[in-house]
Amino acid sequence: MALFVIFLYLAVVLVVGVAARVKGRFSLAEYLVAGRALGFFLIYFLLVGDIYSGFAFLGAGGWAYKYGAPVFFIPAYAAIAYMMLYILGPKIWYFGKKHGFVTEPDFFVARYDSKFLGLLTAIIGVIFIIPYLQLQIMAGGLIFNAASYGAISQKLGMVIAFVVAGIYVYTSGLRGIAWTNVIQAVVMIVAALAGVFYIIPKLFGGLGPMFQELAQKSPQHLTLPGAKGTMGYSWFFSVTVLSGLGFWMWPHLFQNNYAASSDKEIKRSAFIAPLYTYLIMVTATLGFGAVLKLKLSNPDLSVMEMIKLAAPAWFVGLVGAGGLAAAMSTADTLTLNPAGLIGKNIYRDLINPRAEDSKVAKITQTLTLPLLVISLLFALFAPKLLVKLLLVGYSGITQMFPGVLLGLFWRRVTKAGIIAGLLVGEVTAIWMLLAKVKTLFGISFHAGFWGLILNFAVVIVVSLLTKPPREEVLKDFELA
Amino acid sequence: MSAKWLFLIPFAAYVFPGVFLANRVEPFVMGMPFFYFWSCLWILLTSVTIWLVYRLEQR
Repeated sequence: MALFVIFLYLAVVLVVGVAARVKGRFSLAEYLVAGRALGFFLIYFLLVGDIYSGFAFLGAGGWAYKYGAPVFFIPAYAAIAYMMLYILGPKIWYFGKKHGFVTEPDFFVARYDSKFLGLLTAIIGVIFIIPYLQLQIMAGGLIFNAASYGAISQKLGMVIAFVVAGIYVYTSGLRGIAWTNVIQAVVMIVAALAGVFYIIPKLFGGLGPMFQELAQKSPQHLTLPGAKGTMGYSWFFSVTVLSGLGFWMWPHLFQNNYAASSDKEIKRSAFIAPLYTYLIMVTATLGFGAVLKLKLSNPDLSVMEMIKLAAPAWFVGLVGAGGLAAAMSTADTLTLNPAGLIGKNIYRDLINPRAEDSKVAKITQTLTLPLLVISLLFALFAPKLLVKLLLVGYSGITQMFPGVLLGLFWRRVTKAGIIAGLLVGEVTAIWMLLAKVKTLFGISFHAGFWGLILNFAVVIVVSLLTKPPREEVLKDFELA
Repeated sequence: MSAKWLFLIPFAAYVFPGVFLANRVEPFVMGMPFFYFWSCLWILLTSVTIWLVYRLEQR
């Protein structure tokens, strides 16, 4: 019965995703940013669909189970991210439409008058997206396995779910992703609401009794620095700010802004978007409950195992579909995006500048397949190989923040400043993470946050020491 | 002055310095331990703040 529900969900997603394709006008802008034509309904689900990834579905529950209250950094950074959406999103959309941008590096190329910076940001994007994609695939497989009561192995689950995602990304590009995100959101919301209003009351008699029991048995789960005692205030502050500012720097999230039909749709999405974060609180709540009910070797399974304690098989299938939806709705954009980065910013900008738009679009579409296959192979045969990159993920991506923020608001920022800052930021973050350096100048901020501080400092100093950008560029970005 | 400065309110309440005050188990509010309740509250109030900025900028 659980399997039937999951396969039904996969079938619906496949049909809707493929049907979303617009026939006849296939172009790069159509494929990558849905022809800049998504209205409020679709842009909303596109913008929020990615924050609730497969990792968030499993991970938020897992974090609550393992660490406790530090999990609240997720709603905290989401709040910052959505305020940043309101500040940055309309401007990114506006200049994207004005200058025909389809990727994040396009913005860097035009604003800093530098194809090299386009290449650099495209490479940074691809390097950090591939392990993130691999993580979504593995999360999807794990959920499939748990929800089918072991009938489908994790590996088979990965293959089935991501062949489906691969097909609709290939045929329909961002439009397919936007439409399937709507279905995925509905399934997730239903699964999550039932989790709170059915599972928790059934197992504990309500939220109050559950938390009373937890406050007696393990009060350290309910405050910082958490159950392991390792995540205090400086951790909370630096990780929250790092992730909140870095969120829209992920190339796939940045360019979703281009897909809106107007800046008003982005602003309206921004004020409804925080409410979506309640889904994170639901999975976290199940994780808190699991502390009292379960001994788990894999904390990531706390949500699925809690549901299994109390619910019938068909419902476990529905929640499994919800978790799968979370993983797939992130993985699909992560497949499309690096294809666009390579097709547009490496093939078109550097290798064959005179290539026709339809040819670049075709190459981008074709690239989605090897990208998904490579990530799937990594997930199947070398799951641990890219884990270290993942550790660096947010820290690495957020180093693009000064380039975007100052590029939009400060006329004096220069190409040399941004390149220098980016390199200093990346080196600092990667060195601190890999060499396990916990403090700098005696302050225990997160590695990526230290990278960001030094990055900003270098950008400002180097910019002031180098020649200001050309007037034409400043006019293009309305800073003249 | 830009209405966007209002964004400092959720930041102050939830991240810094608000987290110093919110990081506690007691008092329970509607069955929720305080830090948990505070998170749920500021998800809603962040939404309200962004809406308010939107309305102020529309005028």
